[in-house]
Amino acid sequence: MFKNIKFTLFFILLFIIKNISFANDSDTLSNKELLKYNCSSCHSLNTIYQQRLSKEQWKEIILLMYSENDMPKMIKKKEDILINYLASNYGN
Amino acid sequence: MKRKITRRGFIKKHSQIMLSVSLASYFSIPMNVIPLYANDAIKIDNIHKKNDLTILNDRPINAETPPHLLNDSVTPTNRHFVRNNGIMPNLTSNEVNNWTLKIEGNVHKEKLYTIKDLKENFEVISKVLQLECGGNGRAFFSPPTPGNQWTYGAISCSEWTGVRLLDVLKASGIKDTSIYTGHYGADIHLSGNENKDAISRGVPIKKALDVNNIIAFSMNGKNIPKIHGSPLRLICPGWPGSTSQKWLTKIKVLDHVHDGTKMTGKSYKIPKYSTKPGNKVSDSDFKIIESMPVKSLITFPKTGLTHYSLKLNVNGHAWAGDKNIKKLEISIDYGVTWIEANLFNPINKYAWQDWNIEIIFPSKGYYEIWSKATDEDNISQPYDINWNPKGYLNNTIHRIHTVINV
Repeated sequence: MFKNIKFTLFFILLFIIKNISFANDSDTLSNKELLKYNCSSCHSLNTIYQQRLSKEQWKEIILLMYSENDMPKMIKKKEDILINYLASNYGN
Repeated sequence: MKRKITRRGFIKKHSQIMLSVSLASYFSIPMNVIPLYANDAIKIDNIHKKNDLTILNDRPINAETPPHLLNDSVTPTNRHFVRNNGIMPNLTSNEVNNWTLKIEGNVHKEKLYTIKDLKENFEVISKVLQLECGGNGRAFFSPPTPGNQWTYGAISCSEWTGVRLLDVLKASGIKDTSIYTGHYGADIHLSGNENKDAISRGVPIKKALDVNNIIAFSMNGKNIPKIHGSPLRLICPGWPGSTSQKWLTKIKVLDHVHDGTKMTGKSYKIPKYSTKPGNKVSDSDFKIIESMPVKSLITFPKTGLTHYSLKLNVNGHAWAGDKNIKKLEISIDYGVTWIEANLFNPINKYAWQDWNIEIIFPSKGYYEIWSKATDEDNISQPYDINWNPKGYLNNTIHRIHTVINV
């Protein structure tokens, strides 16, 4: 019984550690990290660095990534941050 | 006494530890960390033999050839541009040796061929064929358009050996109701989703039955390199390169326009009517690109060099998709006057045409040299881009610059 309590405490501790250090990771990510995490698992960021596109064009591309290319849907706030970041750094 | 380990006992004893270990490893990976993708190892190795090319992208691999490296009449393999929509398949030698091509769909007899079958059942031919990416020249669009920013060099004219697509399709007996083909390859969708094709395009039956399309197994006399679609690929010369499926596994004959990956939406399409640059065009107002337009390249000299003579030999190539070139002109005064260059016949139908000219400059100075081709229907290259939302078909005159210092 004592052993089980030890394990339970261990898991609780792990859970606390995770929540403290990582739960808010995506809130504190820099915009560049946001770009990296959302785009570079499928293609190189060179795909993006080549582009000079308007905000509207970037928005259209994100929608295409959702519908055609299996990109996981981002929450609206993050999506807006990413589109703004793309348009201001890789804009025309 | 030796304790007997039972299955039940083992699970009881170790499960908590195993669970803790797996949970601990789960919790120790921060959110959003991307595990290394299996394709990383192959992403750049394949490009090493292409070290003179400009690499536009490394995943997927896309690379183009600077114009001065395209001077050969027949493009050497290491100077052939690279266009990938997905991840190249990592094929074992067993898979390569046992490669099959399926012909199916709206045909009387579905067929499955090995490469040996193709060689034994059909006439093997070699042709020098021009192949151009639909987005070649996109980098110069204003306002810019999305996609790989190709400048001049997504064009090639290599020698391909294989069997005629026409012969292979005929052997299956195409039904009268057929109007299109769908081409399938073994490359992998960028997302890794096995249910999706990286790209699957096709051509109208009329183009498919043209005698010049080749199901190729050799390039410039050698086995096709992996990066160019080994061991089997299609070559549909004169049309956007995307119709020339690499790592070809299947051709489907269809009684409708093919709806594969990159046949729908705005891919490889231009508006049905001319568009104000920057305007949005709805999907229903687009049409599929067919033949590539008339175009030329100055491949000698390299742009930007100083020459120490009033005489300068200039040469290059010209091509016009399904059509032949009738005339090639050069201007050294920003298009005010034009001089006709010597134009040669193509090596065979669908090869580009070489041209050359000896220019005599009136004095020392800075010059632009412009080349303009005219096709058999008197259609010439434009001075500026007829803008379209996806940046296709930029066939503007080619310009290089030079300083004449005497």
